[in-house]
Amino acid sequence: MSRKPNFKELLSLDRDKSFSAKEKETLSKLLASDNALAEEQEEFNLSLNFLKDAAYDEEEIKVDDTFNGRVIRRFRVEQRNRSWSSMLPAVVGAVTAAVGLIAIIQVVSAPVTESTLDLQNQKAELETSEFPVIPEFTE
Amino acid sequence: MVGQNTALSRAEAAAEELTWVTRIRRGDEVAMNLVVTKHRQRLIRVAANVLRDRHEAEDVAQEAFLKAFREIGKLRDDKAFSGYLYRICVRLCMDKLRSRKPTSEIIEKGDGTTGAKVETRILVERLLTKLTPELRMTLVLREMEQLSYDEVAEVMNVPVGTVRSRLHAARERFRHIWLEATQEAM
Repeated sequence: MSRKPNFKELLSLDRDKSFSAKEKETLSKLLASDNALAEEQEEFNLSLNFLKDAAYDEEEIKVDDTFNGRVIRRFRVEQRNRSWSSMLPAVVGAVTAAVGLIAIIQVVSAPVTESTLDLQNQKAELETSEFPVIPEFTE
Repeated sequence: MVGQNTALSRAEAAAEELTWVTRIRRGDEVAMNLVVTKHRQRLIRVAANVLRDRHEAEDVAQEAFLKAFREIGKLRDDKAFSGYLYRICVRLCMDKLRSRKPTSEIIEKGDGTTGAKVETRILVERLLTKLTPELRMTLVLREMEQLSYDEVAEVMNVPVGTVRSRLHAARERFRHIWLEATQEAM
């Protein structure tokens, strides 16, 4: 069972015309019996009518001729930026693959050189000498 | 007869908008232009009522159209486009309100030359800054936009009971601060 609305809630319901007959009767009795409450009701309605008077009417809203154009232009720019953003991963992937392919082709087609290292002798030297031996490159 | 004609023209307008929305889904800019022309005043008006700044209201209205077009895929029922657009606008207004820094309010007296309506608006703007964004939005949608409780609930994506309690709190708070302001002005 819902609780009974208090006086201030009744004022709100009265303004919205969403009263039950019983609530309307309760409010009428309260207002008739108490001048302070009647004054509060008047303040309540005055303040809200003051607010309502400050509302803009549609007729006084004058829209600039360029408004529509600005909306459409911005939408167009957004769409373009969005399609670039969605293409970006594919573009980056394609560029990476192309760079990798070029690198492989360059490695595969590089000329073979005949320089060799005499590793065995150099290894023996390393084991016996006190000082590090710099290996010699023979061509 | 007049009533019938009005109903017919409303139905025709609704059918026309339905075809525009279908075209917008395909990226048709001509259809977008028609929709903007039809709804721009309403969106700017609601944003102006909430934000109390005409320039900001135009910016928000633009953002609302862009978001609506960008996210048209989320709209399940094309017939509900108008409500979908309005909701986007209201939510963008809420974001703006939440991102605003609190300012110290000074109640300025009108100098008598600006007109009563302008003075009223200046004072209302000051008073509304004293409400939280949620209370402010609920109050504006009900009192200025004249939406029903159900409509406010749908737009703000809250239960009707929440709208009721917020509206009650907002009205009481507004009465209190309005009294303070009018008594100070005397």
